[in-house]
Amino acid sequence: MAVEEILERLIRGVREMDEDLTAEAAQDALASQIPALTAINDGLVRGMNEAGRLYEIQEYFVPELLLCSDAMYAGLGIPSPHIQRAEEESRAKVVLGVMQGDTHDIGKNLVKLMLEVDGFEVFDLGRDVPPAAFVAKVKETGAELLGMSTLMSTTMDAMGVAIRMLQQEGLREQTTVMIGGGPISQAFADLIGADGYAENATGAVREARRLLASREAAVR
Amino acid sequence: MGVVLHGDRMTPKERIAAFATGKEFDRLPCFLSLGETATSLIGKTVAEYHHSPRVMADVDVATYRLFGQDGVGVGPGFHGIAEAMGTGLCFPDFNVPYIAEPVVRDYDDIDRLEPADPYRDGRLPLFLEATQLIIDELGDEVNVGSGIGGPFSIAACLRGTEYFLRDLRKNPEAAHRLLRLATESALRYIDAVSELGIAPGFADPVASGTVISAAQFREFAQPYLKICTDRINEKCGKRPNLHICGDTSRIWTEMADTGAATLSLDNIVDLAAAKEAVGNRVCLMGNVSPAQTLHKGTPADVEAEARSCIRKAYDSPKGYFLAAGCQIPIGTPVENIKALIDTARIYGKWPIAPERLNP
Repeated sequence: MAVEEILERLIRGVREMDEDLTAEAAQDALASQIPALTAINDGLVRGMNEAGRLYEIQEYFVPELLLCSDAMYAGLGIPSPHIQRAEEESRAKVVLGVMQGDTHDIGKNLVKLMLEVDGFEVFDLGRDVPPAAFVAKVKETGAELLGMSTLMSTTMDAMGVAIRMLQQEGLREQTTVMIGGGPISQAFADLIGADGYAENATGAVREARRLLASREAAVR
Repeated sequence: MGVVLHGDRMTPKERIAAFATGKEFDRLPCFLSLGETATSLIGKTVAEYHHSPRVMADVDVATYRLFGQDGVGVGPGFHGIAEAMGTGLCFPDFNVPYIAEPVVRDYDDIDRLEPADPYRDGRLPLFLEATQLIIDELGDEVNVGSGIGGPFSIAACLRGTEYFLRDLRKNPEAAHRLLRLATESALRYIDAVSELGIAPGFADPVASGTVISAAQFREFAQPYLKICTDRINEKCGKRPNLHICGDTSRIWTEMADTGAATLSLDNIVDLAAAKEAVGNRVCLMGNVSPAQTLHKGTPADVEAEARSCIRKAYDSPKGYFLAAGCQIPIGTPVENIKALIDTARIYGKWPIAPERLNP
């Protein structure tokens, strides 16, 4: 079976929300000895990125992204155990979560998905996360990026608390902080000293890459 | 004839009646979505509010005496209707309730679901009781409403939002079954509250254009909203207010097509664009930013943004009411809420002088 044909099915399976097609193509990839990372990056991830573009141009919405992600994860389980340790480049680390008092996590899950697809290693703390837990995880993992999300106005202030705690722990300098969610705005990000804000999951990835790149440039 | 507050020349009831019949009135109406987010005004927790008709009524009386807004009322929203059908909710002390356990785990569960009985199920009887108390205390001066969820949001609450959204594509037939059940529950509550002389209004946040496409709204939200709106019109001779959070710019026509009388819009949409699109069909309401301006801003910020809203929409053909873009958050300073409605009093004094509204 031609490599191109299998990769094309992986891409299409994800983009067209077809779990069965994706899983079948992933099995074929394994059987054809396509390297795991190739199946993932040139197949599944590319499919998810196409889905992300369709979301940007408002052809896909949240239901479609959720189903694309299901297809992607259905495929991902197959090559993942076969990733060679040496093949894995060091990936940028990000801690993600929804603020304490809030359980709305669909947006955060979409951000997680797009960041993983873009090659980040994501530590997902889930929902209802106290500021101290964010900081502890950043400390533990050495994550370069912290992403906090909320849909509720009552939980916004905890984002500022987390940033202050990062400062107290001497971690603020080395951690890029991004925030997002319904009541969040650039103005609020500026108010609490966050580094970045994005309106949606695909914007979050772009903003994360931009911030990390400019941080690197500044360091040099 | 009720007490006229705050320098107004008419009671809210008189003002809205004049508006509705094309007669002259004193100033631009202003609605404040408070209720469960204003419980601290009387030293009660949100959890206490949600379990006591007395507290619900007391909060509305307190906010009305303080601000003199053009509508009051309490209702189950979408959480309360789903809860009455079996979804488990959590009630924090200082935050709004949230879904703990959706009742539909898989679609076979739907066969066991029944529409909610508003006189018996969940906390629906509490909302009916609170509504009567509010009518008794304030009904002479101000119109009383009761907020319920649109069937789409109710269904999402029954199923769990992230699963329901998937169902729209994976299992649309089952989604429609759930929507029909949700609609039936809403209709029963509508009937019950109509008996009290009240026309309920809707919030349908999950049906937002931020979440679903216009095509999905047309198929899964609009028809069920229309069924409910038709019932309200049939029972009360009035058409309801429809609030949808987030980006509604692609569904304004569809929202008007549900038969709603008023569209309540969130701060991220442009009132002027909404006026262009549907201002000749529906009254518009909104849209001062609840989080950035009302909660986090100064009274001057609130006034500036409110004036900007009035400037954009005061001449909308079917009318315009000043309001926040969504529910006013817990912890919003009282002086900011006052600034909002006082802007309607000062700059919305009829006849409105547009040059006074300039930035």
